[in-house]
Order: sequence, then structure tokens, then C-alpha cells
Amino acid sequence: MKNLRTKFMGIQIDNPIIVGASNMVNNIDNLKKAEENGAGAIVYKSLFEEQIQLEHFQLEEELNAYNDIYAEMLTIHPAFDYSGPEEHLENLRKAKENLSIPLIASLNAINPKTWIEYSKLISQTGVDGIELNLYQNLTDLSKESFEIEAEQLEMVKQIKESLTIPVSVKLSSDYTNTLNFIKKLDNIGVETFVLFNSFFQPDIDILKEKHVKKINYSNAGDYKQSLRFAGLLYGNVNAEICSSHGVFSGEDVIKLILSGASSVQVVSTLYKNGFTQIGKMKKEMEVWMEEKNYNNITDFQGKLSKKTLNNPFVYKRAQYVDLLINSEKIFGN
Amino acid sequence: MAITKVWIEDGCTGCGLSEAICPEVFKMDGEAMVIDGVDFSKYDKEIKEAAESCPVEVIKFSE
Repeated sequence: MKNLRTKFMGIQIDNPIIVGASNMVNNIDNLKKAEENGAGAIVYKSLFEEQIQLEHFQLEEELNAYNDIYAEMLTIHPAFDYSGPEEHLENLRKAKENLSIPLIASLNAINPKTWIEYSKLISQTGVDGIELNLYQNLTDLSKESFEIEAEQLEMVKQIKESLTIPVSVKLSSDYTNTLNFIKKLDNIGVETFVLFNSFFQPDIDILKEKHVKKINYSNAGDYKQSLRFAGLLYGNVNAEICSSHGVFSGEDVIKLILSGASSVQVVSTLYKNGFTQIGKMKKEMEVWMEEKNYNNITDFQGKLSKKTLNNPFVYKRAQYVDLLINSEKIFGN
Repeated sequence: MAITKVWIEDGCTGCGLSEAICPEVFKMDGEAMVIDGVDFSKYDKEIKEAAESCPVEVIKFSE
């Protein structure tokens, strides 16, 4: 038996496979299933600003305008087991009481007041940490990127200052310089970066010429952008790196840890393969570690990061250029 | 055309999505099940949505 213990948000967890926020983990039965199948930790389904506003202002019509959903964001839609913020907080308390593995809350707000207020309320439920989902569905062509980043940094700073539990930030890769933004968050003291969030994207039925509601599951292999950023960040930030988006197998987890991640979040693979997939992924990791004679995660974490390799070309444009220039040699005609 | 029959083929992962989308037709018992005696024609839209959303595409229906 290999030692798969690692850290997430500074919390010791038994293995690096964390069940990410989704509608799969919104009830005690499924939370227990995830735990029994060996999850290292669970991120409870997100509380969305829209849920809070719905309770406050009954914005049903606006909520119904959401017409496309990502597997990780099912709770955005009120038709999916809608619960208001008070019920959500109570569910978090009950979930925490029923689990022995760490339980992380997830918040996806918009307004600064909501972020601060609900971070505090969530922290009082007994959860082990809180994950902040930085995301705005920007449609304003005039807003400058530095304004958005400044607002998000200030909000995270205020939350960090007001809480005693660890804070992770799950963010988009769509910043002008994502590394720079992460570095600024790191300076604030964020415990973990979760790379990256899966956002809902619109789609159209061309026969009906209408927008369609369709869940976008991640696909196997979608983890590669996260792998690149883990490789670039490892050793350059104080926070831990948790990779997400398209992590399907034990092999994927190994690759992401080699690049520098200390943990991963999985959602779509559980939708497609069930909770037993967690055990299979752990087994794949153990078999590989046995073959490679590794005993602990730290024996190989970051081994293929940019910093460890000290290779100026790895994870950079040069790799891409080399691939194009030598494509005939690599792929043949 | 209205939906007259709904069934679940082998391979359900028990994710609970069908029940979340249409609890009037689907219930969970380890795996998703179709509730007996339901007038499916009342839930055409929701059943189709559940079938389209199913990650392993095991929800089937006929019209």
C-alpha cells in the first residue's frame, strides 16, 4: 500500500482525489458514497449569488434565462433541486456532521457584499474551508480588465481577512496574464488555487434556430491546460495547486502531480463512471508508484515542473514552435 | 408527439441527474428508476432534457 497522503488548502487529506462541486454532492447519500469510495475530500455544491438573490428578490424570470449548464455548475439553475441560502447553510452543517473526510464549501457570488456576508456565514457551518469561484459572465465591452482584477483581488483580500478557515480560489484561465493574477492572489495568502473552473457555454440548435440547454461535461484529456499552469506555478507560489477540468483517470492524476499539483478535483468522470471511479484511480496511482518505486506523493510531485527541470523551453512557446518545425519528423508525412 | 414510454438501459452510474431534472418521472434507488403509473406526456420537455443530459445516455423514451 502506497502513501497517497497530500495537502489541500493546508489540510492533510488521505489521497489527492477530491470530488469537485456539483449536483452529485448535494445530499448525504451521495456524500457518503463519495467518502466510502475513497475521496480525499469533497467540495459541496456551490451556493450561487442567484440563489441568494432569488430568496431576496424572487428573480425567477432572470434565473430562467440561464440556458446552458456545465456539469460542475448544475446548481445555477433553480429547477435543479433549488434551495435557498438558509437551507444551503443547514445542509452544509448536516453534511459536515455526517462525514469524516474534509468538507469544503463553495461560493459563487457576484456582488462584494454577498461574497463577504456569505463567506462568513458559510465559515460558521463547521466546514473545513471555502472555495471561491471567481467568475463573471462579462458582457460589458467597456470594462477594463484591470478593473475586474482589482475588484476580485480586493474581494478575496477582505474575505481572507475576515475568515479563520482556509480559502481556495477556483478561477478561470481567461485572464490576460493568469500567472500574474495568481501571484497577486498568492500574496494575499490564498491557500490553494484550483485550476481551472468549467463554465457554462452557449450552444445553438440549428434546426430550431434556438439556444439549447445542454450539459457540457468535461472530456478525458481536457486537463492539459491545467497541467501546463501547474508546471509553471510549482515552486513559484506559496499556495498549493489543485488541478481540475477533464481529470478522468489515475494516469491523469499522476501527470498533474508530476507537473506540480498536490491534488485534483473530479466531477465529469464521476458522472460518467460513478463514484467507484475514485477507487480505480487510486489503484492506478498505487500500481504506477510501485513500478516507479515511489512511496509518497512528494517523491514525484513537481518532478516535471519548469522550476525543477530548469529548462527554459518547457511549457513555453518554444515547445509549440519546435513541434511545428519538426512536425514531419515527429508525425511523418 | 407525446412520450408514451420511458426506460433506463444498463449502465446507469447513479449520478442522480435524472431525478434532479424530473423527480416526477425518475427516482433514485442506487440507480435511476422510472416511477410507475406516471403520465409521461405531461413531462415531455423534462424527460427529453434528462435523456439529453444523461452522462452515459441510458435514458430512453418512445413517442
